[in-house]
Amino acid sequence: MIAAILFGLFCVLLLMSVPIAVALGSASAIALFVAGKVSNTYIPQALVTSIDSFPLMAVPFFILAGDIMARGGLSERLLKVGGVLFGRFRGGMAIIAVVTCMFFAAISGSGPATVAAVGSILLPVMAREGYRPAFSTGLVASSGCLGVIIPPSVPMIIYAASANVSVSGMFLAGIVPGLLIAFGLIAYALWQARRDGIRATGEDQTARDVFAAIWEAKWALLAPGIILGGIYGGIFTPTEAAAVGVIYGLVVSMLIYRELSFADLYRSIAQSALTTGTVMVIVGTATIFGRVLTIERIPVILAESMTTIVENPIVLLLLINLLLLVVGTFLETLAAIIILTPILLPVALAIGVDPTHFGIVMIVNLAIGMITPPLGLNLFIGARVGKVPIEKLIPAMPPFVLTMVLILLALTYIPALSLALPSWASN
Amino acid sequence: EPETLLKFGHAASTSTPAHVALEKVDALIRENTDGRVGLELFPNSQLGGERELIESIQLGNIDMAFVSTAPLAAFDSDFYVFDMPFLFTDHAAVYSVLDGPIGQEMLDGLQRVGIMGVSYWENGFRQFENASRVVKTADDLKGLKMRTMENEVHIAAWREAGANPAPLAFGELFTALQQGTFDAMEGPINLFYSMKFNEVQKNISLTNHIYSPLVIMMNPDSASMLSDEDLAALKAAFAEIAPLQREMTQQADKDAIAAMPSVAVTELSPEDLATFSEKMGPVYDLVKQKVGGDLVDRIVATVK
Amino acid sequence: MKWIDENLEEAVVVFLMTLITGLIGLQIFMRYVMGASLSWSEELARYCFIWMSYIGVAYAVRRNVSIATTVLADALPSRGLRLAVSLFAHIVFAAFALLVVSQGITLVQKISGFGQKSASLGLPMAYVYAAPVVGFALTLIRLMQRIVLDLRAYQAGDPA
Ligand code: NA
Ligand code: NA
Repeated sequence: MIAAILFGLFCVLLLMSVPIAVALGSASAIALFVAGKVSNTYIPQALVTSIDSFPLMAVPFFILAGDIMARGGLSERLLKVGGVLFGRFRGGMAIIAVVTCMFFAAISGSGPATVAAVGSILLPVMAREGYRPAFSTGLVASSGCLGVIIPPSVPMIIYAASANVSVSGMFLAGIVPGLLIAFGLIAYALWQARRDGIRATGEDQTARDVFAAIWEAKWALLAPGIILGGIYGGIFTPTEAAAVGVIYGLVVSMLIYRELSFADLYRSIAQSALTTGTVMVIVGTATIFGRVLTIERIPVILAESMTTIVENPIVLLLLINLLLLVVGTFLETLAAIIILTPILLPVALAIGVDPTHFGIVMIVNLAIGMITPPLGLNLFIGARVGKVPIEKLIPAMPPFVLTMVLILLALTYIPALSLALPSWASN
Repeated sequence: EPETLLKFGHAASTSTPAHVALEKVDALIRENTDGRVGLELFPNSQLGGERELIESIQLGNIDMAFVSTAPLAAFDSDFYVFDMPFLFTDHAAVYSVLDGPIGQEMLDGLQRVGIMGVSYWENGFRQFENASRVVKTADDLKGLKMRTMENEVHIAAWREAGANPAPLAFGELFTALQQGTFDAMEGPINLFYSMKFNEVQKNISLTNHIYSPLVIMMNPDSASMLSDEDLAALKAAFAEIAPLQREMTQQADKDAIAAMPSVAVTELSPEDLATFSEKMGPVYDLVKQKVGGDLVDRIVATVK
Repeated sequence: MKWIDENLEEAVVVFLMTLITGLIGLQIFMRYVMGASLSWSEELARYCFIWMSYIGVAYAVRRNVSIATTVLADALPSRGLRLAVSLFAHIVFAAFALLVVSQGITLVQKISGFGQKSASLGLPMAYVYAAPVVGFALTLIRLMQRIVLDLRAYQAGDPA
């Protein structure tokens, strides 16, 4: 009964364009009122306690670091390295797009930020070189998913907080899956570019040119090393590494490249605080929503019924994937993580799935949700920066989605793809 | 299904002695109230971490909880006494305080902050643990980056003793130790084992520096909803299981040591321990300031 | 007054974000360079972060940014219907904000009455719980502005 009110209201409000955070919060408030089990002071209390977390504080830093580096001239230099390395191949721009997204993903924790940073510079160039805008925008929107799969990753931080696993462990587990998806996207993109008759435009480069471009981009190339090296070298916690990323980005773009003015910096900080506010209020209200479910014992009931109806773990994992894919189409990533982790993780644990591995499966699923309508943030941002109408962009997406789904299946059934790196690192 | 199902939250996992004992208490309460009252258990911080649980008891958002004393001190400063290092030398000393008039006074004192104190269970003595070397005296602490709980007294005590302590979220601790962001930590042995810290820490020094009880607490309004008879049955059930819960916790520490042959467990002589307690002396004054000297003096007198 | 209208939330969140970055930077510096970890920096940073997040909610409404599903609204045939849906969304938001503010005030009073202190700095926890109250109160004001702006835009015949 309470669950029906909760989910029913939530869906209705969501359809009526009520912001997700408010839909979650209002549905929970009414359900709590009807259930009469806790006082309404519970809502402001949980809004504070749910985000009173040091690991969560990495979120604004990773957003800000990415933003500063995008505005401060680091992305352009990364692109130039891509140009000298891959420009001479047929479809080389497609490789450049994915590889640059990978690099940017290793600085930024967000999918849309990756799309915006890379797409705004790269998509005009790709259009000049004859790529269909819908295809190139689709490629960048899909590669943007790497932003949350290759560490650092905001959704991984949220998952780690919900599932009580280590943020750094999640980060390590995301590296191989991120590389696999990057290869998958490159493979499809090269095939498609050849079919579309794209020719190579870049000239052969001398070793000297390659070296010069790399040298020019050295500070940008170093950034992922500082962030991830700092965490895995035992120097910083993930949150501290994120703050160091901000400070490093500031030094490089203000003092070395001198491409970031104080006015830019102010806008960067304001923008990251804005994103943080919209995201954290979702964390807060989704936590309340999840607590209502917990108090009503829904996760326990659902987990028990799921494991009794479907006993085969392979089928069960497939069902969980399907559920996550469907949820990912319409629900915002972070809200989905906070609501679904307490429900699905016990099921996964019951069939012997490692919680870190499960987190990767969940995040890749929801990353795919970023490029599927109706709610796909990477699509929206891609359409904006690529100047492609969203209805033209959507038909270009199925091959990208299919590529990622195939890799997702591999990740689901071969845990070592996620877990080998963290377990190797611990020895 | 009982008429009154009390929501009971805690932050420990279901395999801990405290949770297992809680299941026994639930059965006992149902039996002794003819099924009128029961507990609905929410382990693993499902309803919030310890600080939030205490607050939710005050606000009436949950009915019951148990928490360790370190976060409780922020609500009632009397409980800072349990953060005083080397206050208790053994379990007998602990129980003489907790099960005597002082312990009862402190439980009753929680009424001032909107909490009904029900009973003391055991979290256990805390030990010093580290990755790099056998620590026998305070001098061995030099240069160790140490994780402590977020508690002013703990941080001050370890800083005085010579370590480099800082608070860190518990969820980040394992990896921080693994990566070497922190070298050392402190806590009960059974928790150390159940969280698999033996994979990243090689030495346990039996410092017994702090004894931490679990405080069972209840929202006063939830208590007054029960008949006097049922409330008495509920309190009696917690008291009845308490000795068993303490025994289970001590056994869990012993089992944990036996299950970790790769970890060097070092006994400390009274002289070794004195090197810590002497340096941590200034912390006694800090606690006295917070608590009021009288309570501290009475506890010290009781355990002598 | 105009400056406040345009910059209040923005200035506050930028200040807090800068402060947080500085605090964490200082924390790392103290641990490695001075060999003496700070015990309070993390806590203060966390509380500033909570304040920044909830002031950020008002700031987002001011800038007309939100994460919402607008498929249905976008598909509506008439401007009037789209306005109605958007007003409905604002009103639900305002109602929720009002709930947070009113219950938040009760919460702050209770927490302040019980006298809970923060673990490291000994700050009254009521200051922390005031964050959503202030943030959602500002949000409420910004929503009123938004409603007025939407209605004006509709009357002026903007194709929005
Ligand atoms: Na990333
Ligand atoms: Na989607």
